[in-house]
Amino acid sequence: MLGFAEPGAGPGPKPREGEMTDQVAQATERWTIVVANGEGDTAEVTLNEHAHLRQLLRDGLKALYGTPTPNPDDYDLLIGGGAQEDLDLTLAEAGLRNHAEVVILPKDVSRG
Amino acid sequence: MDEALVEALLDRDWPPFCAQAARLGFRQPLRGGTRIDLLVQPVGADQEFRAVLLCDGYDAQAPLLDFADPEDPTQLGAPFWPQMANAPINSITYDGRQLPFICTPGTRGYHLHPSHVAEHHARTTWRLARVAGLLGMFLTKMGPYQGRGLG
Repeated sequence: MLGFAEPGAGPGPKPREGEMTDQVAQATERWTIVVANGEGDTAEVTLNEHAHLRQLLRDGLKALYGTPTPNPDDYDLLIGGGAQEDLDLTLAEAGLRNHAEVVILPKDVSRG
Repeated sequence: MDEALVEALLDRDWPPFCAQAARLGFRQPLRGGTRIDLLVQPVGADQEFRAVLLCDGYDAQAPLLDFADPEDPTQLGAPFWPQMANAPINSITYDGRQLPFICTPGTRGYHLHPSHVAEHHARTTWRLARVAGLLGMFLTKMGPYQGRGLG
């Protein structure tokens, strides 16, 4: 009769208690990113390293301005001084690391 | 103008200004007295520009934003500004010369222009970190870059 093997029943060392949890935790490390607006005000956002830049922009605006939160479509996310075109990149794919700093600027400048 | 107060205000605003400059990809700003120099590179440019903030009277007036000749930083003016196609640039006669300015609050040219001199803005409008943000917007979001020197 066929059956399903229990985890760790196959060849190789059996995982120790807590080992899988640690691996999952490592795979989903949370990073704190400093966000700044054009005035130089700053706030911190903590996100999964696999989170997308779109979420960083949304959470960053909320951290900086509270509720009601400005529309993310009206803002650019700048990393290293360059506006990010692809907000579907993950934090890691965009070259960010834990404690990285980014700037959020409005797309349109208020003109006199 | 209270020189000691100006110095104290610049000391206060210097760390957040440097932090904002770093976030915007500028090199470490240089400060000598009330003058601040930043080496910057507009998006799309293959050369550096030397932005200058003259912060005399910072207790009562906005910094004057100008650009300097990279070879001779004592020379300031329109020939040394980056030309950004979509930047709202205007100019005033100031100290016997034409001073370009970005037509948005935050730098002295704007606040001295006859069209804006009657406007009231909080002093935080020209805080150094905010001026860094304005410079960042000018260099990254008002392009495309079209060369050195304003016509």
